[in-house]
Amino acid sequence: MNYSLFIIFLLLNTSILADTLSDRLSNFSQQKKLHGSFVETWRSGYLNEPLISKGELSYQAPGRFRKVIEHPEPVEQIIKGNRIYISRDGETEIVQLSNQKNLAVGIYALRDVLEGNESSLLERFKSNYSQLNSNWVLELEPRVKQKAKLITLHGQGNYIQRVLILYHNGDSSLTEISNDILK
Amino acid sequence: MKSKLKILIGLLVIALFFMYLIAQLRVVSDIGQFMPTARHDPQLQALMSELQNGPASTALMIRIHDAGSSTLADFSMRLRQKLIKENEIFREVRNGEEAMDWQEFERLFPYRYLLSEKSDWSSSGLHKTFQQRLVDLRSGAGAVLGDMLGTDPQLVFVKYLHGLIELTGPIKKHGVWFDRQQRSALMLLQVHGEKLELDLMQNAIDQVQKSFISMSPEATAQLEVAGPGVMAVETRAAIERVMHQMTLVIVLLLMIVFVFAYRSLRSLILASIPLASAILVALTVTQLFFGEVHSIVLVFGIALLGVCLDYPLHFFSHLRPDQTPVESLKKIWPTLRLGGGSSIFAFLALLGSGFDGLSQLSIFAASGLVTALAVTRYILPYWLSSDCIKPRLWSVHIEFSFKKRILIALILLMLPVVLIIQSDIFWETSIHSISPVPASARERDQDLRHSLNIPEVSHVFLLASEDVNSVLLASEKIEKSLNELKDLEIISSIWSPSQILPSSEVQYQRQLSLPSSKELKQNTEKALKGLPFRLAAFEAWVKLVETSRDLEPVGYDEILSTPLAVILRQGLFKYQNQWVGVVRVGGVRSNAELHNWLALHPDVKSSYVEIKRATEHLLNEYRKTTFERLIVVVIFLGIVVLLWSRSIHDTIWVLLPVGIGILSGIAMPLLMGTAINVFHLLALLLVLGMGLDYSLFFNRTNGGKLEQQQRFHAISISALTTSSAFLVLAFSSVPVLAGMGQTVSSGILGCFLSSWLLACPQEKSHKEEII
Repeated sequence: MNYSLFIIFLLLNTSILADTLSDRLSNFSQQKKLHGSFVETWRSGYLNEPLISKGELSYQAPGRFRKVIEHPEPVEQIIKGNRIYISRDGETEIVQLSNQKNLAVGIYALRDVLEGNESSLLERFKSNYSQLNSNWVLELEPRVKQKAKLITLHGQGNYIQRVLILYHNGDSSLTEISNDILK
Repeated sequence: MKSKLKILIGLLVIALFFMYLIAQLRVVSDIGQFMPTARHDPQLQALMSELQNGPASTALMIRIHDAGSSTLADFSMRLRQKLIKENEIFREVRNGEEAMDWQEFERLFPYRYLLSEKSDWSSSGLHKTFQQRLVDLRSGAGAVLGDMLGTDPQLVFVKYLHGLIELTGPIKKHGVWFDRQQRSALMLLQVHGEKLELDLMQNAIDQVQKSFISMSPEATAQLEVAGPGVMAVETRAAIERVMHQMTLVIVLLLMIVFVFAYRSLRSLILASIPLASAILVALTVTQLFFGEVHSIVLVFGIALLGVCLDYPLHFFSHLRPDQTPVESLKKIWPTLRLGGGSSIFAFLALLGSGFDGLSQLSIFAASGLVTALAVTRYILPYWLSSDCIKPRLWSVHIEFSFKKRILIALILLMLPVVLIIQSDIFWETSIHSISPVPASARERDQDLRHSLNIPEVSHVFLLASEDVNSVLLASEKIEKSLNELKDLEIISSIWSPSQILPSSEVQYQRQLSLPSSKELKQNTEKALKGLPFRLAAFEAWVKLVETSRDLEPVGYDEILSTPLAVILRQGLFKYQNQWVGVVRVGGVRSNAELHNWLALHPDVKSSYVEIKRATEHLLNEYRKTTFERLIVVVIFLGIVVLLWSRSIHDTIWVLLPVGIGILSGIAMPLLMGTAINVFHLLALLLVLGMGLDYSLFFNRTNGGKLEQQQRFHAISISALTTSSAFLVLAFSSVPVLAGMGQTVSSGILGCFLSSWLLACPQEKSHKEEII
């Protein structure tokens, strides 16, 4: 490789390379607004086949998520602070995240990562961060025992590509994110 | 030496009483304890006891208003978070967003099919259920549903618990409770403690207000706190405020009067010794007899003991330089003894009333008066030298002919009588007018109670039995009948303990409607056709349903070990040896319509109690008894005076001013638009005691100009200070205190004027030795 080209490649990638979790989180914390689409797959022992839902996700710092499930049934979920607003069939239900630990655990993981809030993340989870080139994997194990056993975030550079939540009873939820979502 | 010994013994006894009070005194402030007990109706008594001491008494209701609904919801949520941290004060903080801790209810999970309404077990019904769960899973509820899907796919248990919460909570907006107009966010707090404790409640109210202010709300957002505790705290503050004002007026007045009338401030200290001793002994004796002293007894009792201040006044005014203090006292002692003794026996007559409040008051006043008399007679004279107090005597001596006295008596008598006759009101029949709680606080409480959908306590159906299941069966029967009222929209809600804990019979019926495992398996298999669920995933559920068919019905104790206990206890509790059930109705459209319906349903009507009416009936009984006792006391005094004076003529002239004073004490509140209640009658006892004292002294044997001056001096000071002090109370915002102030100030003035104008002191006769 041409030496000058190599320098340019390095300069272009410094923003997406992070050797440590702190660096990775620091990069994420600079993102203020994100948007993309997702496919979520729910696998469970009581199902013959996985359940799939699709829709759009958006994030606005600090801490505001919007998840719109478009298929098969329209549902809108907005997360603001400690509350999740679930709208379905014209009715909105508000759930306090602190009251729904099993629902909240995945949201806390994603929010802490996107906000770059390392202290909060490490308070809630034991973490294991690894990186190969621009691909990285962050494994998060809840410190307080609950239904979720392990949350794994897969990403490339400043993209989160997949969020996998494994539950103690063998159930799992995989959210695959595409386009510029959550970069 | 002998006198010093008496003083020493007296001081020792007082010191002992003081030490006892420090260690043992227990003042209770609950007005319910002073009120009459429903002795003839144990069920009603049980309900009132539960209302006064149960969880309802420690609840605080909060309303946040005057801002946009989302802002209000935000305040509600943030305030809840702040108050939850104050878990030493608040046992529970609810605003509709709280989640249930399923583990606390785990014990009831196996009984879900016995506790809930029947489910649809058909294959089509189950198909709909599974379809709904599929939607839940695709909406991201998988983590929440979790294993519950495999053990309770119909979510019967969740619906049972949510149903109970809905039953006891208001509507929701933005995830928190709002009123029906959706203009105010609502919260319900439960303060620690089994019963209402005013200091704890005050602390809780302060904490709520402090937390709200710290959230820096928009200038327009307002916080309101209501509940029995708030009313009690506000009432206590109002009473304390008035009592402080009264004390200040009394102290200032006494200082001015004593400096002017006796040229000595030391005399004020000496004059307060009999009163202070009387209060100390009265407190000790009441505490010993009853194990507690009610705060109303304390206030009224101390007021009644105000007559004790008259004893040293008489003594000081009758001091003469040519006599030793002991000799001066001995001269007036027979009159003092007669007046004091008659009052003591009069108060003791209240003992037989059968009402705890009156009995406490009787013991308090009687023991206090005995003490004051004894201290005045046996201690006070030995602390004085004959020249230490030089009264500045004055007198306005008027002596009318017999005919003129008759005329004056008629005028003085007729004046209050005309006022009483002309008044449109006489007896107070509304409990609200007697309650020391301000009307605005009561209205706020009622309004918030309605908004929070807290079952009303004004219309209840009471059921009692020795067996808890019989009560539950009866409550189910009543509820069934009351549903007709709901259909007619005469009421909007029914709250029954059987909604939480059904009777054994209903639980058995529900068990019978459960499908066998074979039937359920077949129906489930059919229901799952076309759906992605595996049949094997629901095997555990099929087994659990089968197990439910053989369970013993849930009992009271099982519910009591869960958080539902607080709700259940409001409608089902044990009182003495009886189980009492309370079915409540809410949103009554019209009392008349409700009563008309009840008239057509005598079986339901037999359990119906309108608390307000029942309480008013009790209070009327209380007032009637107190009035009868007052009449007995007057008759008793008449007999005592007759026996001592041995003359009907003298007895009439001695008692006439007392009668005029009592009539004045009744007429004044009526003139000011206040109907007579039990507290006016109690205040008349003070008028009675002091009036008799005035009349006896004015009618003492004529001992010359000096003695006329001395008695006028003493009585005018007493009348001036007493009526002025009670005049402060007459304008109080607390009805009980205002009533007392109006009655005493006007009654005492009436007694003084009539005793003075109608006095016909006898020339030396056989009475000299007596009065």
